[in-house]
Amino acid sequence: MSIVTISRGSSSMGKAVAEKVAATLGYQVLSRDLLLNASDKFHVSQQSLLQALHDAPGLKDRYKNTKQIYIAYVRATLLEMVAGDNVVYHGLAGHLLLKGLDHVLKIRIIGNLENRVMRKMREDGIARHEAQSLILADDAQRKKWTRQIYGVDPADNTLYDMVICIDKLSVDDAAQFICGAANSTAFQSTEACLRKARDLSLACNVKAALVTEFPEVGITCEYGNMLLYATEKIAHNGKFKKILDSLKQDTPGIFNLEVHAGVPVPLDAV
Amino acid sequence: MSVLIFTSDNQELEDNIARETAQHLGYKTLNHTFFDEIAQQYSLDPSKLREAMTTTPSILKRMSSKLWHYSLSCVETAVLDRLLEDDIVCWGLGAHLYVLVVSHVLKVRLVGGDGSAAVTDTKKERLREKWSMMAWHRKEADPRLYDLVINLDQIKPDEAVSTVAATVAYPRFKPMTYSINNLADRALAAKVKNVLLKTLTDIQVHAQNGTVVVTTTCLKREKTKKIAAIKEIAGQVEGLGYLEVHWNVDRVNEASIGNR
Repeated sequence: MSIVTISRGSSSMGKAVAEKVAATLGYQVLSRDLLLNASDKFHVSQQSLLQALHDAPGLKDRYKNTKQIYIAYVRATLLEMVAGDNVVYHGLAGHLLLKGLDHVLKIRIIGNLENRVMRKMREDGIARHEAQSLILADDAQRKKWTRQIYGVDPADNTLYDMVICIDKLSVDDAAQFICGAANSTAFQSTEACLRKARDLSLACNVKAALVTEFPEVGITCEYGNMLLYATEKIAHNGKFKKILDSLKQDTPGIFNLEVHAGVPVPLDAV
Repeated sequence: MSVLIFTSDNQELEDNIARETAQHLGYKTLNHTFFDEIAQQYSLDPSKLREAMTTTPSILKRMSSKLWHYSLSCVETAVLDRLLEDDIVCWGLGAHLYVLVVSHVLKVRLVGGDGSAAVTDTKKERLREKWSMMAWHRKEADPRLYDLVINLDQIKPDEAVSTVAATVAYPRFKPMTYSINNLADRALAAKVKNVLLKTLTDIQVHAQNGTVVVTTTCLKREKTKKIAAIKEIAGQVEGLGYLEVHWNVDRVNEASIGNR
């Protein structure tokens, strides 16, 4: 009873491992379905969401906060989708989007460039130099994205619970490891973990509702009690108050909604 | 029947898990206590040898570049020689940086474990990175150097031990003729480099199937003398099949002499 996220570079057999893990544990596999659901829920094209999760922010994004908006949509959708537990997610940035949840087992699968190039050539039927440049460009883009959005290096070992080099292992061996770790007590979902996931999901939904107009507002939630950290100016804004009122009425699970004006945003706020 | 190498920034954790794994598998251990034996074998000061394994050469620390490289080479030679014995758990000797591409060696890095994953000691990390880059041109924290990286912030040490023990049992980590020969070649190259570094500098050594290739850099006028010296010194190493010496011109010194 836990959530497994599998982060990998392209052609690192992450998908095969994720499917094997899900089949062994009887979990649901999530990947691009996330974009489909987020696209339906927030009426944004899948392509825009994919770009927001894959490409590093450009100059235009920095001024218009488009990345921040789309990531808030994707995060809110993902947290809703994993709320039921027993999920293996192998899409983009799972370990970062589900940050803060203790029962999430974060795995990274890495592989030697040479083997990845060979796999890419076989999968896509392309020439060696083309396969290599595609893989390197993809790796560079993901590194840039993680650095710019979250300020961390995707190669940092401390972001994951386990990093597995797939070169010497088969898909079955890697899946066996992951299943062993997922079944350990540390990653079993307790009542406290599930409550934390529900609170985070509520906070992310509120963030998604506010991010277009008020991207700088920070939100925390505990036992359904929502704390919003905003500037004095935003706290007294009529539109802001109106959105909060409708959220309080329409979102089940929110008991209380309180605005802290002029207080610094805590580190764990979304 | 394989070799296991552990590494971590947290020495206490590394020591505990490596010992438990060795006990679990019934393997021998090879760790920092081996430094005294190496120092005795190569007539070095044990404290200087330990210092060379943690710091970079510096005039202020009275550690010359030549002595530093020689000390590292002594450790590498002695460790590789011991790893040929098989069924060993090794840690604290930097072996993960020089035992590469040997398929029956399982390299494991342990991170976290003291709740410090979020608050990392950046200065210590930077010094360690500088050392590993200068010594073996590799970043120690690079996950691509390892077969498995385990974060012990949530995974318990006994679970890590059982995972590693299960991994080492996989067929890919069993010694094969090719991987044993590969390790033997590395041990031979390290031995040749070690005898050469006693008197010479700017030496790179590679070995394949008992054939050793030494690459050196020197002035044109010193070429014959240096090649002869290399052949004479390296020729005495036991197990050497064929020796080839490649020479590169030292362009910087050559240019400075030309401008005089």
